[in-house]
Amino acid sequence: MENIHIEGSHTNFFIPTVDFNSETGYCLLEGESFLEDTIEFYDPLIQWLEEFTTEVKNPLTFEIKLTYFNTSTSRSILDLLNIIKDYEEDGGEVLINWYYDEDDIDMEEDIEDYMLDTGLEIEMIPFED
Amino acid sequence: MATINKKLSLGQSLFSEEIRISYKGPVDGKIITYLGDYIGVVNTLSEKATKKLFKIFFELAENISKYSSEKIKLKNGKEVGAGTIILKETVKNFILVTGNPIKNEHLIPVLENSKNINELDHSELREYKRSVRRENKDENHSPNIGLITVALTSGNPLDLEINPIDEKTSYFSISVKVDK
Amino acid sequence: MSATKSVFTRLTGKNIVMSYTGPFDGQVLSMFGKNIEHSISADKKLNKTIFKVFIELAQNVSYYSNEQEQTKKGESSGVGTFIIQNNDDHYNFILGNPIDKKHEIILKDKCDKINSYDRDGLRTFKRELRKLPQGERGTGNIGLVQAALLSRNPLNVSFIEIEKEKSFYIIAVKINKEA
Repeated sequence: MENIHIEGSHTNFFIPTVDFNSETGYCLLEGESFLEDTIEFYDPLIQWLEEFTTEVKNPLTFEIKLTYFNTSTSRSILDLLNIIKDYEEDGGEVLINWYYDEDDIDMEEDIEDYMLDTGLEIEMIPFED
Repeated sequence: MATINKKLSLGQSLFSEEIRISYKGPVDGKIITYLGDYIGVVNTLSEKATKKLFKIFFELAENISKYSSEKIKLKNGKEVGAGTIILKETVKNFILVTGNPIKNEHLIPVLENSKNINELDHSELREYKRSVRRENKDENHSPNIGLITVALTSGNPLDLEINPIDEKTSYFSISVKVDK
Repeated sequence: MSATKSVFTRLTGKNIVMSYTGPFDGQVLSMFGKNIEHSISADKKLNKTIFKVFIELAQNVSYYSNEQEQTKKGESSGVGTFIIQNNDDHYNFILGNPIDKKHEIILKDKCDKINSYDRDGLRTFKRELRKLPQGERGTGNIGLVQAALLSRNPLNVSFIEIEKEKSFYIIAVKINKEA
């Protein structure tokens, strides 16, 4: 299974940095996400995660360090988290860390709402900007 | 100063003509490139007119960027001038209007200059441009040279309006016509 | 074309820190987004909120404006206007574009519904919208909910008649300076 690496950029639209590693089971989503075609960008990530959780089945550490995402992206994040939830229910070992600016109340609420939606335990890790 | 008295009221003119694009805010390289690109795809212009409009646009935008007294700090820490750029279309021509606050000390030479500019014919303008350039050897761009270039390119008189803001600054706007 | 661009007359008003009228393509959104995020005020948090509101609402212009224009890439893009005003204790983000008149009621109902919720209600509503399958979600809906959540103020919607079948839709969102 191949790893995914996408270098984030900020020129046209905001592309997040993606690092999905199938050997270590470490996945990172970082930066800002506002894309021309959200589905086109996130679909391969969703497929990767499905393959990892159904075939590789190693412990998974999923880290989100997004400082901004639009609502269109928020739907794709929900899709990713739902796959992780299914994996956890199937006995997969899962750790989710979500880093956010301690001043960003909206982001804090968003993470709480994701926990409500998915039933996942998300480690909320505030940082100083 | 006949041209200055021929007032152009921004507020009213927005109603009567068709605005193709307008912008108010910091005028940095990205904005200039974007608006310039937009001018490039305006399809109701002849190729020659497009080139003219380009040239005028870049001069006026650069003037805002450099000489607007309202400075805004961007992400990269660079300070750029802020102002307004409006491109309007009428049946016969395109009108480019720019406006920005300016320190009076920058304004006086511009005013004296523009009075001259509107009184000169094309060949006189060219001569004037060369002489101004000789006098300002140290600067590769001055608001004056910019305005002469604009007048030369447009082939129409420059339409200026000045409204005092306070003792030290005024709001300066210029309107330039380019025939289609 | 002239409809959109003749409605807003106060593009140069004193308290306007940024305004734009023209096509709302992706380049416009990311370029202005960046400038909003970094140059509107000295308050980084406030800039970020205005930026987020801008992205959510401005995307709707490119989808729903009933006036379209060709962009450089040859794609067509919705035309509209946005204005950011700096007032004493708040910023106003105002966005407008022409719509088919028949959509007035739908938009008004949406905003009334959003304004009727308290914060918790809005959060729940947003989660419900997000759970809907792609396509049924109504991109515009969730963007409006998000704008209301971000601004912590009611959405202000109005319509100006342009022609018999066409209106100019204006949405104004207030963002307080003191959180």
